[in-house]
Amino acid sequence: MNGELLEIIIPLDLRYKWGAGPHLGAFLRGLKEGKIFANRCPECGRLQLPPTPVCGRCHVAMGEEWIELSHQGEVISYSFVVDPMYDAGIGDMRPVPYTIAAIVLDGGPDVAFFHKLEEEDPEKVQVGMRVEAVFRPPAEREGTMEDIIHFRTVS
Amino acid sequence: MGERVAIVGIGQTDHRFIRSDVNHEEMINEAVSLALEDAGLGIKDIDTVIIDNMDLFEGHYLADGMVVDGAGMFLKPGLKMNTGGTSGATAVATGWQHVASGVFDTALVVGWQKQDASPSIASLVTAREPFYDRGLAAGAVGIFASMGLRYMQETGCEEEHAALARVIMADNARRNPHAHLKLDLTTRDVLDSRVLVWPVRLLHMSPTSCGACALVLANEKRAEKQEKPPVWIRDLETAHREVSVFRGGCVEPQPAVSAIEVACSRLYKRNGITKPARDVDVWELYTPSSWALFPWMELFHICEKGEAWRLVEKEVIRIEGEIPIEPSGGVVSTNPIGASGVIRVAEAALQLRGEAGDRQVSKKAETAIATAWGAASWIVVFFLSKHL
Repeated sequence: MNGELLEIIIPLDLRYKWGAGPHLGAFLRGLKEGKIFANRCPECGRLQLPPTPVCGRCHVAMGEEWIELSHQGEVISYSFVVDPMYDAGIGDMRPVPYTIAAIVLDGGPDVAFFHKLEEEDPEKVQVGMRVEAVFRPPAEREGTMEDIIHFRTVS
Repeated sequence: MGERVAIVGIGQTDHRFIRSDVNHEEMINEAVSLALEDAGLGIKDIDTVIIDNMDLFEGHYLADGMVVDGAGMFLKPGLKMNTGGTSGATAVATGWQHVASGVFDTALVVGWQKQDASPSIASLVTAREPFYDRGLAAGAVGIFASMGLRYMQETGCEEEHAALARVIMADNARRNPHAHLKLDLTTRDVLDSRVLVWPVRLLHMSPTSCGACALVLANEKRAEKQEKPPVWIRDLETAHREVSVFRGGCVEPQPAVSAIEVACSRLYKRNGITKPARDVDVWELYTPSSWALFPWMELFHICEKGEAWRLVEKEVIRIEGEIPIEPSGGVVSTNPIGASGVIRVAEAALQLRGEAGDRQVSKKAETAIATAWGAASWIVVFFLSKHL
């Protein structure tokens, strides 16, 4: 049988509700207060950022040792996002360009924090540069990663 | 170890950007029919069927329910697997386990993806942890960007070397009639293609492909009755990274544990592979981006840390080279994701049969490593051999 090959468009607009749980919840509440918390494994002493309930390597509960990290740290890796990408949080394309970086915060040498950099000039971003978190004003914070606007260069 | 397991049937579709001429079930059936024909068997000879695709990519949960007839599963035992990019390899591993256990004499493994249906990246980004890093994640492209950047920083590799790796894979793909992208590229073409997430350019990333691949597995008793010589799945190994790597993709400054390295170290030790570049004749690694090739070569111990880009520069990874890698053109040329892991094993098996046509490696091919990788770092590594 020959004929036209038919196609239909199927839209999918769905809403999901996720729970953060106590450990990630404590981290997000910390952001609302302008603080960045990691937690520490009682067995191997390794920090977890974001905080987790269990150490993946030792298979033990992480306990209640919470470490407040500095707002300042060092860029260990970075990239420039140029091509628009779907954002599963908003269900649409995210505005570009922006700079992303892995940052080792002072006080947490064995974990990296992942966020945006204010600096968008490729010539001015390098490994080893010092940066600091820029938080939104307290009244605008909602306990999300967006409570930090970005990291700016420390001159 | 259980029963010895052989690959006795191989079938794959031609992989394309759009397959509006078939629906999912029809596309899957193309590969299944080719694999059964290659094995000289009928569906009645198949004891169990293992299938896989990436759930949600076609906007469709329980894809298995819709493809039963096409995959030949009707009233047969079987499973549907899903481990992200690794899914196809997990399906082959599951088929192997079913036959190695002695419970089943034969297994049919079928992987597919029909990405002309889907905004695949929209599905992929939902894999990210929603509180911590969905707001920043740039899908698979972002993962390979951080991989490539770190590799350049640590080794002296430059963008030109990743471009050369891409050109070699394109040259291989043009010799593979099933490949999706058969591009005639120069390194300049790669370096001039637009940046997605620096240093990953458009030509560094795999395409969104439609396609299916099927394998027939059999125990030794059945395999010996086959007309074509069997290719043996001598051994396989799996390992998984801890979950934290998926939060931010960069939880530690330097990941101390690589699931790839752990899996292949265990596999090599069990099989007496002491110098992989010498002991393994052909490699089908799973490189969705040309930037992944360098760390993969090092984690598979094909060379020392920091040396992979030099081997690429010497072009020894070509089909005619001493260490042929991705003679099929690799995932960067062809990526119907759920099928891609099955295709790696199929292509390695074709090389050992000597049936790889224009893409047949020049050196004598008696052993092969095939693998698949996904961002969740489920790793499966296969060791294939022509002889027991």
